[in-house]
Amino acid sequence: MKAFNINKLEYASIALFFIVIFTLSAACEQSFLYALHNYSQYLDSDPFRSIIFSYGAGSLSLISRYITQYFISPVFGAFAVSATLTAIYAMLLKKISRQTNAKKIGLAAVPSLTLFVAIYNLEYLLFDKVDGSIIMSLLLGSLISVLLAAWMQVENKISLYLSIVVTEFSYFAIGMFSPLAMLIGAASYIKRDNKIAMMLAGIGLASWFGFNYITSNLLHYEEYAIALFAPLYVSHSSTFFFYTLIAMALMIVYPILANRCVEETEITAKKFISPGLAFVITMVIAKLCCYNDENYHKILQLQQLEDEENWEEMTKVAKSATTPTIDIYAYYLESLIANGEKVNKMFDFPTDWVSHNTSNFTLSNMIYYPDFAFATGNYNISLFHSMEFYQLTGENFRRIKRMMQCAIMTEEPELAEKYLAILETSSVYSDYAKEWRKYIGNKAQLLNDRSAYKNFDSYYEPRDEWFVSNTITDFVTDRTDITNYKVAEARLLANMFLKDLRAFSNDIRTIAPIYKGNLPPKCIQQAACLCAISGDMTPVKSIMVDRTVAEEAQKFAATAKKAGKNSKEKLEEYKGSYLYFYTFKNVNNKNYKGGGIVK
Amino acid sequence: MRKTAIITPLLAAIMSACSVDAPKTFSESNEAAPISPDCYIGTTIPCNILPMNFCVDANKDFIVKVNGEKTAFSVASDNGNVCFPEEKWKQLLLENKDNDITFEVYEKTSNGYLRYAPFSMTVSSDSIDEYVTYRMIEPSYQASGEMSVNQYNLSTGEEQIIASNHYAHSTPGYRSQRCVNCHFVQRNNSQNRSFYYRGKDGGMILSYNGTLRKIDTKTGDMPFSTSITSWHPTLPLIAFSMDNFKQSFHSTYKNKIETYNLHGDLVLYDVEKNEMANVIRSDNRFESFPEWAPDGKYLYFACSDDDKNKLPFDSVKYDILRIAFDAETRSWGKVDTVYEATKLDSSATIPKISPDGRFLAITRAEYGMQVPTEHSADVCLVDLQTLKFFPLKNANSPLCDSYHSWSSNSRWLLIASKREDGSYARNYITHIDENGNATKPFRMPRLNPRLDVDLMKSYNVPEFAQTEAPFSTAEYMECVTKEKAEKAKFISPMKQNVDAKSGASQIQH
Repeated sequence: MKAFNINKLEYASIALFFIVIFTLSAACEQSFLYALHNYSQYLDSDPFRSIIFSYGAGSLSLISRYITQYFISPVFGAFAVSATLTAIYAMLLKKISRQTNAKKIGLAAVPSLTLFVAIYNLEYLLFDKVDGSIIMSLLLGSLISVLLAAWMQVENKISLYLSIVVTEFSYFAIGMFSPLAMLIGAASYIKRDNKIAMMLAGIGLASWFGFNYITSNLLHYEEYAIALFAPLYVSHSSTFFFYTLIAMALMIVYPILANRCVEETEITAKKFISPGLAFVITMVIAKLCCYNDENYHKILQLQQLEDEENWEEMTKVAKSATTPTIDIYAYYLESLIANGEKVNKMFDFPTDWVSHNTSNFTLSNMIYYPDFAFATGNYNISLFHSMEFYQLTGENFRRIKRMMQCAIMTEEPELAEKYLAILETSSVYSDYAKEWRKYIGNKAQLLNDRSAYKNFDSYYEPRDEWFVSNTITDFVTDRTDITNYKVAEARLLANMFLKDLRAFSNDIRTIAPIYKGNLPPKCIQQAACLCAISGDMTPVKSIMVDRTVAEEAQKFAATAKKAGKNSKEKLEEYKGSYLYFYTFKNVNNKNYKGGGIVK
Repeated sequence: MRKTAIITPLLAAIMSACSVDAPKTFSESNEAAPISPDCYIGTTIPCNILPMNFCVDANKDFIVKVNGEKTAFSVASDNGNVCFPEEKWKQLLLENKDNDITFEVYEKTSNGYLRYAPFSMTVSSDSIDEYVTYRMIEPSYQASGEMSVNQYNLSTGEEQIIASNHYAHSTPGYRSQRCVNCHFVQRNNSQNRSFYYRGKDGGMILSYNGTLRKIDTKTGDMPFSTSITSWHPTLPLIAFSMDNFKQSFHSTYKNKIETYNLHGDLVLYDVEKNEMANVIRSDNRFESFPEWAPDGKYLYFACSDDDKNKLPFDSVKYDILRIAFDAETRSWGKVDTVYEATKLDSSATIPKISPDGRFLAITRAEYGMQVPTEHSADVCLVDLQTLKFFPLKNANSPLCDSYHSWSSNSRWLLIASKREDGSYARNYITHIDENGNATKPFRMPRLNPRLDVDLMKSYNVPEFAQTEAPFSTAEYMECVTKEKAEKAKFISPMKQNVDAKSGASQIQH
């Protein structure tokens, strides 16, 4: 087999590494990278910087936050991630000195690829309490640890003193070392043996994660853990610690293991077995630890589209969900409300729902409540949820924007000003804040400029004396005033969503006059037909039903009866209709107390 | 302990204004100095308060000169924070007791310096209690997200967390949403204090005479746990209300939340005997917000005027009553009505009596009991000698001014006010003279003056304390995470049905 020119190959591999990582990041992780900027609040003010700096790992967090805020452009995010990973790869490539064949390229790539896998599996943490800059913190921290490990191999007193100074500084400002880790790091010099020194340094570095994990999760003192041992400002996330522990230990120890390999100049497939196996094992561990909700990216994508007020695209993306959840459906409804077309399309949605379940502390409602409550005109609920989730899930530009919008909608200028002032101190949101400033004390202007907000505001025509509750069901059912057209219709739709045709039948007797002389929306006619098919003729006697709709319903019922177990396939043509939704959607209504208008 | 406590003040000091000389040549403006909070202009401050640091426009350069009778010094600011050196500030206050100190604010412009209209603060010789404790919480109370009971030193500006629901959780990787609340101290010995850590294996965390215990106060036939707390000023007794608070949310109305009670009775807890007894149990009235008189001879409380099912929500209104207490026999006596707010078609809650026994501070609102959510809420005084009513117009705002606490010398009243934006409560302090007159309140100063501006939490249930908490955060949290709480004994098991307005039951010993 032909021998390669190693130097050229190394440079080529570095370039290739960057291109592959950048392409994968930019192509597959755009929404995640965009979401990170929201959870990585950086304000251009001295008091803010002083607070962040005073945290464990403060300076690292500060630098990472600064960089991550610009992930508002996901391409920049992909660049920053891939550039740092490439730098780590290049450093390791240099450190694996004994290998002179292409094998060391594979060996050097393993830790960086591990990091790559790790960072894109940390994503679900966004819905837990997390500093969105963890990705950059982890990458920069890894780069620093590789540099430190290299430094410790230089056997002279100056390097020892300097490394101790650095570690001391790091303890307060970067949070790189726990005292024990520092001790082990210093001991590595005394040993004067490169291999043992590096192993000890590796154990030292690994111990800060270990202590952090133990103190935060076993002793239940997260804040202490952060203050004493934290490498990064992240709390109670075992997954995070597992990943970082594996990645960091690999980076420190790996060059020694790699150097033990026999010097060879030829490439054979056999020589890639060990690094390949290591990578596969890491991938398996990563997958076992990671969050497996396939729709996670979809939610992030929907939130990004909502930020951009791209309602049409939002509808399309939500509708394309293969395994929809209540979160995705909420965003679907929001986009329909924004476009004023909810009543016509709300049942045109996939029916194969799965229950939302996350492996960690993540309230499902945290994801969509503030947004959905806002879209239905329940501004106080939206504000409160945003306020609380701002604390629970970490500082977040998205929440601040939502709070500011709520304050404008409820016409509380001082409150809106508070949030705008924060947004104005941000480099990436100062223009946004200026754009919204004109709406303070001028809600009419906002409704005039943005039709979606006009639709949100008039969705229920909320009134001062109305109370709202906390569930998606309650948002659409807790109404006693049915003289209001919009409320009445929303109530019927809520009954239909919950497949409670009995409540539908009860309510429609009272609500029917609002449709006097007009045909109700098609989905309501279909619901009335379904009642009639099951023997309840009240709805069809109360409202006008188009003949074609009635015939279609009869045909649907007949086909369903005939097809039996295979009816889903036979009724494909009815997809998007309420007939199909009613028949095939699983409804989780365990908290639903039953319909019927309280008069 | 978080490094924040050490590093933030240090950095604030480094970043804050440097000492400079005030400009000798300048033009003058009649406009008020553009400082935030502007409530500092013309206010009265205690002689032992920390520097009244404030904010100015961060995009401009300023010099601020402070003049006292003997001492004057200047500081410069180029980052929006005007921070005074602590030692010089202390000296300034000591030298100017019962006098004014004046502030001259100079803005650097392209044409030299511009001096705004100087303003003053009056330094009262009445000192203020050294500590304030409060709960930090989001303005809404649904998810019990991250909340903590903190203590703040009014002389040094140092803030410490006493307990936090962020520190302890029972399952790794899982954040329990538990409530930390109702932190109260004994008036004459603030080493004795209590707060609650709710939820599974929760309880009242009680520090008393150097011991720390976790007590389960829901005992006997009590339908609900205890909540609002008042320590007897001298005896080892705590009066509690037993409430069932609920919340509803307005969709758009500015009051946002209605918090109401579906149950309200009073019980008494003997700290040393670990015994709980009824004070008032009535089916058709609510009693809540107990408050001992400074001499311990009466227990004041808020009492609803009608039954609990009364609707709509804004028709439930409270009066302030009191019930006599004989410390020797530990028996209860006659019930009096002290302030009948319902006659004025309003509601009065949160009775707090000045330690000199002269004034009763209440929160008066249009309706309800948990008035910290109502914009109509104002803090008012009733002179207990003359029963004269003081609306405290100087101290109140058009928005919610509610929870209040007296300093131990009865001269300072601490108020949680939402006057700045209607949602986030901030601590305001006003001086009350011997005639019941209030001065313009000032926002509790912070070493970092921007902190309250950017803070996304509310100050809740602020209370003065003369001393710091007797135990460390770690000791409190250790007690919190104890598996079992001591169950209090219930010594009056009979359910007493006593109308609070007509009489009270006797506690059997």
